[in-house]
Amino acid sequence: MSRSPSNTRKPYRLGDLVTGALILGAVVLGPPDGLRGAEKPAPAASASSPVVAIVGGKVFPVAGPVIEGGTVVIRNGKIEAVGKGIAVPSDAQRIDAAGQWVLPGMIDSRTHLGLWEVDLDPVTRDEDEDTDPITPQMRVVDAYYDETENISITRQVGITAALTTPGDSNLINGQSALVDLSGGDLDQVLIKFPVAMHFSLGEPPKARYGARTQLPSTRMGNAALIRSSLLQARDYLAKWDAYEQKKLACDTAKAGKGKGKKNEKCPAERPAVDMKLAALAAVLKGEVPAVFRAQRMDDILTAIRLSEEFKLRLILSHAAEAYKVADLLAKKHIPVIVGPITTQPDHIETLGAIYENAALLEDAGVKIAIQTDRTNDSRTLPWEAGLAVAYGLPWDAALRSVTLVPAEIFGVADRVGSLEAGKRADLIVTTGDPFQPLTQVKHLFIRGVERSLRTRQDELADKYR
Amino acid sequence: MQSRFWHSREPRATGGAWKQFGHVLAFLALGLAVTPAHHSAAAAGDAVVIYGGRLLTITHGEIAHGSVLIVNGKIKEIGEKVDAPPGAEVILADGMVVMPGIVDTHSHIGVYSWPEVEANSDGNEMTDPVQAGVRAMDSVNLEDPAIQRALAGGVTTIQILPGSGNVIGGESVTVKLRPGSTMDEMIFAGAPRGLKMALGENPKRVYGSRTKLPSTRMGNIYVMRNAFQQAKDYRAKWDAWEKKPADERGAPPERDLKMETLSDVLAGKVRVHVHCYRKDEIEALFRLSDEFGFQVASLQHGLEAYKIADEVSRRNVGVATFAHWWGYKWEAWDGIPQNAGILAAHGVRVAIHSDSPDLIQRLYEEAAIAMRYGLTREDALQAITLNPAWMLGVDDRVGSLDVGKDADIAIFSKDPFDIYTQVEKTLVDGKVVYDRSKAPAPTSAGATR
Repeated sequence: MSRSPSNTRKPYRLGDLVTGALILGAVVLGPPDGLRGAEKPAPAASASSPVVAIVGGKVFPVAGPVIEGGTVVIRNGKIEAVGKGIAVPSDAQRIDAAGQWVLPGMIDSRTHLGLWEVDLDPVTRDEDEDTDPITPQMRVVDAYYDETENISITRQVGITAALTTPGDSNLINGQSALVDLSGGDLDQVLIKFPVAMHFSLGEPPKARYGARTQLPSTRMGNAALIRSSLLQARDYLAKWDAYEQKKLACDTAKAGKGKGKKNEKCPAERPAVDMKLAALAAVLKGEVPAVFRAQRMDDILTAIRLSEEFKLRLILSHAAEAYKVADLLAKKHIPVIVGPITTQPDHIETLGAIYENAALLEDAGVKIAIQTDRTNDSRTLPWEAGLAVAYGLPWDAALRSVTLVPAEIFGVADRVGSLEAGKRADLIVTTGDPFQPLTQVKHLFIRGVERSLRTRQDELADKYR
Repeated sequence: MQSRFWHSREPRATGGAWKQFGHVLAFLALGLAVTPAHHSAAAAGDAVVIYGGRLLTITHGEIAHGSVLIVNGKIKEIGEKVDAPPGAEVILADGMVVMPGIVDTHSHIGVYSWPEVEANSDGNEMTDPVQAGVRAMDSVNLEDPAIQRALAGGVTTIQILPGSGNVIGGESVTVKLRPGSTMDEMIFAGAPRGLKMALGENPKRVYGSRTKLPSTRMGNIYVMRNAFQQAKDYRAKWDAWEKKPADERGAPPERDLKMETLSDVLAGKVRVHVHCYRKDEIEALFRLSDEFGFQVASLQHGLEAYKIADEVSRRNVGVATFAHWWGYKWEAWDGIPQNAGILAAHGVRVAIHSDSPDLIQRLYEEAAIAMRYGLTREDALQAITLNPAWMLGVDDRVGSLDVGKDADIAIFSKDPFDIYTQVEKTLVDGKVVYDRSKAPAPTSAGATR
């Protein structure tokens, strides 16, 4: 992967975050300046981003009908045009895709990419702050390792972006980021941060803290501690709101000084910043959605109850038994990130796991995305989607569940998830159906730049072949 | 929930029915009495015909449209046409793919039964690194729900192994998946005994964390050498005792179950299956097997076997591996999905194994992933049938569609390497033990376990 010289690493200026307003606006939301840049259009890669026309392939825009023998034109890292019979610009590098498929790059809705290298070695893992059941202040961007081997291996099968999340064994685990898999520095690859706050219900938190004879050791403990944290955050938010109002009043009074008597309560006293509560406040304000990991039906219902109580923007994840309440989820418009599709009835909380979960949810009208919840082997995403199809999920819905739907759920559908003019050119050219294990990815573009499909594993294979 | 989702299955059901009806007519026209296919067991002496599928024989190519005649649980005939006796049960497989039942050399079904709770953890006797005397057979929960799921994946024969927490984990048991039966009925009669051994991180982690031997790879090998040396001495002691005239023998040496198993290994009566990852530990294992003169039947996992493919091939040691799992620990860091393909290209007999009640349900998909990374189609088919059977010493009985072999058969809706395929029926010894059309349909109203 080439890095253009203009994209040198910028230090994140935490020192910039001094005022209360910024604390609520930025610590809560996370991105200091260096990261906030990623919310802007993706860094232009103009020097290494030639004009490309992919011609003659079977094009799956996802946002619209399939185009046989279509053309996709890429310019300045973005899709310039998609359609049939589009003239190839004279300055374009032409890729003949006859007999091949052109699709948006896939998005994995849950991984720990960049946070996790070797499963069994804690030294290489940074996704799980295993010290407190309530860690909303944890931000995956602060542990992201851009040279992880897992990225190229994941990219090789056609995955161009992934949600990288904190773990799931605390009740509130922290804030996730959506990154592209070009393998560059964080400020280049970040598509959005924070994407969501990640809550967990069910077995993992109670198993972890119960073993330490610490709250929570039960499901009611899970709910109670989440509820009390959110109540604290609500009070915190009210305190800051009162401060802001008072400050405004004082500033107004100051502007009219000399007239009337001095306000005894001025200047307004700024409350102390609490990083945990500030992070949760953003969730309460609806600025950051809440992903609740819940497997069993009753845990799913607890997530709904808590979310309605605190008006959270709920997204369910894992959700092995979501099919049991499919109609309810559809009625409430709660999106579900299912998966892995291969979730087995191997834990008490997943005894109800069935391969048809995705299909039943989709059939009921629930918006679904698919997650692998893997890191070393998140390359299984297309095969997970294929398995969901084998068990009844319509193929088109499966494609949406790994492209446009996650983009919608994560609030980035204006930039990624489909092949439409103006969106980022994150796309793949394959020998056929991307869900088939025997299909090969021939070209992969992220931000309009063709990316390597070689991995360290290929180097090893060539060495010993 | 009988709407769109379930309709998606209909084309196969209704469209197929007409075609199937046509074949029934064709069959009747041949003058054969045809009874409707049903899933009840074929009693001894009964004949079963699998009619009209694409046959993947493994040993002699594909038959585009053929039949298999089963009599007394064995394959009696196979070909484009078979001579079915009157009254034979007919299983219509038109448009489907028929192949031998899948064989897995590496399963912990029953010894780590679902659900994964401490009460079901019976696969690692981690109280001493040498446990040659324990037998997996004595830990198997015959009601493990994973058995049914494995059958739904077309699997018919598995080796149930002790875990890899010990350097010598105990004896394995090779079983046929005959659900609802006793262990005596499950056992693959005549299958050779097997011993599980383990190298690398697992045993050294288990015992090292207790500051006990072994805590290093050299410790692992030392524990093995020491155990086999003891077995040699043990056997010598018994041999000397047995050679003495009866009146001079005196009391026999003390029996030791660990030493019994290990001396049987040295006598070539027990096949050795070794959990391993890194090239260096595989080489250390070969030094050890040379020193004590036993053959290694299979490397289990063997993620770095590709680095010494010629040496593995020269020794005629099989490798049962994952298609793509890697990186979950340091010794899996150089694991590559090309492993199976490289080994096969060097003449090594390769199996794709599961080591998982999840993967065991889709070993055909795992084999397809190995193909993606270079395994040929022929080798991929063998990797889930004949090669694992060979590693277990039962390739004369299962692993291919050949006359005289056990009628262990999987019938797929599509090619086994198509991601959208499903197993329609699984037969063990000619009996249908899984039938997808009779599996309960899941609904949004409740679970279907």
